[in-house]
Amino acid sequence: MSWLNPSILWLLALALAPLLLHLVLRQKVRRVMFSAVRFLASAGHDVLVRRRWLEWLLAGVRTVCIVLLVAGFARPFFAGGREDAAAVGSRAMLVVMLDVSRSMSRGSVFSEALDRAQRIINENGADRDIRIVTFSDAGSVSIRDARDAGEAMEILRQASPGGAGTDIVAALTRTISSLGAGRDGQVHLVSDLQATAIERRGELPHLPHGFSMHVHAVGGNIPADSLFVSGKDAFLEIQPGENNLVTTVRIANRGRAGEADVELRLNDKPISTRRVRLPQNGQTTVDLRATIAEPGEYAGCIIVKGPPPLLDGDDRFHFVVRVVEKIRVAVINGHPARDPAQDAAFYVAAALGAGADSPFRAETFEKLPADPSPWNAVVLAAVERLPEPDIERLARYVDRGGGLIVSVGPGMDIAAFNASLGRLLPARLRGIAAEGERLLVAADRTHPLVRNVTPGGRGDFGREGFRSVYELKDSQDAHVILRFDDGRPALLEKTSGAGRILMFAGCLDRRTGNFPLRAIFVPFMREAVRSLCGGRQRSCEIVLGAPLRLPAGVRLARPDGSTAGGDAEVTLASITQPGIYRLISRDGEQLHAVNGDAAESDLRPAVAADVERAVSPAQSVEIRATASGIERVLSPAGRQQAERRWNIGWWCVLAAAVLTLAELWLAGIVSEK
Amino acid sequence: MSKTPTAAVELLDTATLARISSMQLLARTVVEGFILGLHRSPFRGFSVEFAEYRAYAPGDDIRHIDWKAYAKTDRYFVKQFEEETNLACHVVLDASASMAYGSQPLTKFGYAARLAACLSYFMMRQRDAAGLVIFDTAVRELLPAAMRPSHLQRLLSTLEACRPGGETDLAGPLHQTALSVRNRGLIVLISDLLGDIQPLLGALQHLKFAGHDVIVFQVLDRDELEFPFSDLAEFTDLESGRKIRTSSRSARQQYLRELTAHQAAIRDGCADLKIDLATLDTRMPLDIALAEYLYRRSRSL
Repeated sequence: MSWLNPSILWLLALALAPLLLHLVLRQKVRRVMFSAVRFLASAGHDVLVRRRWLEWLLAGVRTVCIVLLVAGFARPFFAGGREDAAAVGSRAMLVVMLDVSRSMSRGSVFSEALDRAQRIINENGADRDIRIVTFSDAGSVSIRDARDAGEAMEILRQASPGGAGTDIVAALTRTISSLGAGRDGQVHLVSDLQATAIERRGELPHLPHGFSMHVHAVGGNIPADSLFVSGKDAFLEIQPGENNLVTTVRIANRGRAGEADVELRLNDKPISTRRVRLPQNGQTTVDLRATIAEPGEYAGCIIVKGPPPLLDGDDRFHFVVRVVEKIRVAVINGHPARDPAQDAAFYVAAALGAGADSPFRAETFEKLPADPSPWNAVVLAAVERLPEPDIERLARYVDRGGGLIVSVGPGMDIAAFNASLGRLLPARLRGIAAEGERLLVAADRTHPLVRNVTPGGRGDFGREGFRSVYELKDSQDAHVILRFDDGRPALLEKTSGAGRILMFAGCLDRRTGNFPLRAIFVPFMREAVRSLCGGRQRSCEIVLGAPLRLPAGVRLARPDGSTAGGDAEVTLASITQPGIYRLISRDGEQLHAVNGDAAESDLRPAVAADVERAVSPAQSVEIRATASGIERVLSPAGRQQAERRWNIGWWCVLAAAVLTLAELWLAGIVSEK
Repeated sequence: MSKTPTAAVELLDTATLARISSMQLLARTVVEGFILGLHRSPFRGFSVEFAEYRAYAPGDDIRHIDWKAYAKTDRYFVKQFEEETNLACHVVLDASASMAYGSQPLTKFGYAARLAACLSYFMMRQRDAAGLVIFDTAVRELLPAAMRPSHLQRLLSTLEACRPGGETDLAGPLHQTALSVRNRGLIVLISDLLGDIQPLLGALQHLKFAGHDVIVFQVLDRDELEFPFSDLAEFTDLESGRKIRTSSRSARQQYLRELTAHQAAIRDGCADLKIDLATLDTRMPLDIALAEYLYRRSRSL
């Protein structure tokens, strides 16, 4: 056992104090000539003996207390770790960590890295277990064990730089945790060692005892000047109109001040160009505007013509802009009221039409228009019944691709509702459920409505309360999107012909709750309408550097023109190129803009020696020459690491605290005797 | 003039008594003061009863001339007092080694001897015959009751010369006293009573059976009553030499419990035998013992 703070061990001398005090101040037996000894006969010698033992025990407890306290604050640890002990008899390891991030694709950096990795294996791989770790960002760490040097070389040859960013801290953490206990060996990190891959990524982990860290920085010559373009939204949905496209990009300049031309392109056609001034080692923001009259999806790109980019794609920001006409929605008001609180149609129309740039145009009617086909969707707000011809028209409207949303209202005639609208809807009304506060919960988190209203599908509707709702029946064929928290269906969907119908079992006015006043009401209504009218639905997300799963029947067209996917489901190992990707399916074509990570284009390197020092346990071990030879001892950092591992000091202090309580108890007993 | 002895009595605490070496002086000081104090007590006029006037004859003590009668009749009359009864009182004093214990200025034996002296003096002054029995395991001294002034001198000298020692055997000497003292009278036992209770009660019963009135003064030291020791101690018995090592603090409870039981047994036994028992702490003034004696004597007359 060693001590992190041995200078206070002299305080251990204090441990003698209780013993000395006990001996010095020990109560002498007083001799008393007494006349009534006959009454003391039953209080015999055993009391005295017990007291003597208790006094010694008390002195012992006090001594141990002091020893523990001093030992605790001297912070003890075991110099030889478990790893060292277990290392005996195990083969040494050689771990090669190869950076395959996007920045490694620059010039000949990756081939240089491969050469270095192969040389490491050749020089150190004999009689060692070889482990190859390829990594880029936190989610892209691959660890593979090779049987021999040949297999390790093969693994390295299969590696190639992807499009993802770099997180060296995450890669080291994963690698070190995979080493386990009881081994020793070498860890070699081959990387361009971007500072951004270490800074603000957390604390670098330490290698276990027995391992040494070696950092090999590649790609040493970095041009002085570079820039990187990033934007806020890679997808925009706008309506036709003058100057309807406004896109903003930020240009980060690393190098000297200068000027650059910024060009906006749509579908590869130059639209506009602006000259901007780039500050020295700073950034500037640029707005570019354009007018797009025709509806459709456009592949947008902003290109900065300045110093040559360090990485492919750093000089451009890709985005997709979708131009759509306003979605027309006919809101049929089944319960017109002067008080807006009782008027569901009021809230529906307000939610859809709010804002000048709203993509919706809501119009309120008291009766179904004679020809609803000009409207993209129809909302029946608290409509109890419709004439039979209207029902027929609605059915034809939906079959031809129209969208229908039906909401109920309190106090409706259930029989009349079922008789009139029942055959059209996903379910019929059974009755009014027992009164009580109910909340909405997502039943299908993958549905576009839920996914878009609650970002990532992780949110919930938990704050929306409904005092009174309808129970539904005959809903076997319907798809439940939302439920009330008592399990009853709340929002159901049914496909009819080319169109779809949504039925909401709660009220959209304020007679049974405050749902229309909640912040979620507007996105709820808009996404409900959008989901019925063929709104934007992504079949998959495309992230640079990440694998991509293409569903069956979907093909991917890359920016360079190559394609992947087809009739069967396929998973692509990695998306490596920034640019516009096209997902082609039977439903049509979708454009996806993919851009690089801003941090990845910052190639400022970290100092290899600093990384080695921070990670390597060599820092925790010092080699000293002694008279008997070379001695391996723990350095201050290693001692602290060992001390933190065992935490003996705190256990000592804790034990001292417990013994202090025991001392108080014993002292009480002794004083009573 | 009359206030001086009273004041003296009031000042005569046990510490002062301890410094008076002469038994006679001590007895006189205490008793005279006590009697003066009696003028304010319920026992006033009890001891020396006025009988009649008689004409003065030469040789009479002029202190007994009634000057008021002379003023009225112009003749000398002498006050004549009735002689007291010839009650025989024996003071039985325990002189065993346990009586030598004392944490106060006076040991138990010193206190008991002074008490015996005062009682004897007081008895003689009351015209009672006073006797003395001193014992430890057996009767050491036996002075039969007599009323002569010279007897008082001898009695006080004996007390002065006596030193405590030897083990206690309360019963044997008391039986012996019962057999020795044939005339019925008053037996005053002064002892710490630290012995076996049943034999003691048997002996007291013997005294009662012999027709004696018995008063028991139990003299105990403060230490014996309170057991104030708090250290580790080795207690050695004054009589037997038996040693017990114990922690005083833990032994105190046990000791007080045993002592209380012992005292209760003595008290109950004496009550059964209709014997007056007074427990005296060596810090208490001797007046209390004298008052007890007077009260007891008045009942026996």
